[in-house]
Amino acid sequence: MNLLATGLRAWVVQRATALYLAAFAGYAFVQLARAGVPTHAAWRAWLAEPGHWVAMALAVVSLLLHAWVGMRDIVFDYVPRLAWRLACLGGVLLVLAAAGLLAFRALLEAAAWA
Amino acid sequence: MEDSDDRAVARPRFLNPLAIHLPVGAVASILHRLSGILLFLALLPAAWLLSLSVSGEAGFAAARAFLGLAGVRLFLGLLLWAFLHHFLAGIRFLLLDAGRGRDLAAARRLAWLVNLGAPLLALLWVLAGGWG
Repeated sequence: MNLLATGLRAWVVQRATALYLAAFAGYAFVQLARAGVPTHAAWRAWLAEPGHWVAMALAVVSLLLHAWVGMRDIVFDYVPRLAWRLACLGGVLLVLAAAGLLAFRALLEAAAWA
Repeated sequence: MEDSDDRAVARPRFLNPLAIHLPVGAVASILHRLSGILLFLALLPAAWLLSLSVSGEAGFAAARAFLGLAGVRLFLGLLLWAFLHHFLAGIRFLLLDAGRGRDLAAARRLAWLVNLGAPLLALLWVLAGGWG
């Protein structure tokens, strides 16, 4: 995929991920409200369910793409100098890569429970 | 063209941001961006907490203890507002994309609903003891 994801494709990615994230957030909220006091055992059991695991993995990917397009738009709008713009985009990519790595390592760890 | 110099003189010399009256839709839009930045900044700590929470019983307890700290709670309240605003304003943008609520009055009503709804819902959640 084109890293900068410009134009119509970025627009579609932003909307599609927004729809998924909104649905996921709604579901997660209901689950959280039902669960009451969170315990390690309950968290493990929740994540060990394949449907929840897949939903989480999709949410992580959606979040990374959504955040990239959004932050990219903001940087393009407010950082006109090319060097600064590239530095900002690099910083955003670095943060997203680190967060993604941490999240996926966690998900892999959780997958081993199932 | 001869009066172009006069017009140049009449232009404002400096920008007074307090004198700008933003329409309510612009406020919703700016806050959508601002809340997006806040949520982006929360991504790395959130991923760290996720990995801590699956690392075992002790890690999970540590993550819970961290989220229970008073200073962290303050940030969580701010993030809750950011999430709610981003969520509601995002739905408004999706509706506008779909051609719904496009006439000015409806778009403004929705913007008011978003701008006031997000802090209200966040406050309600905190007051209802949603943090547990």
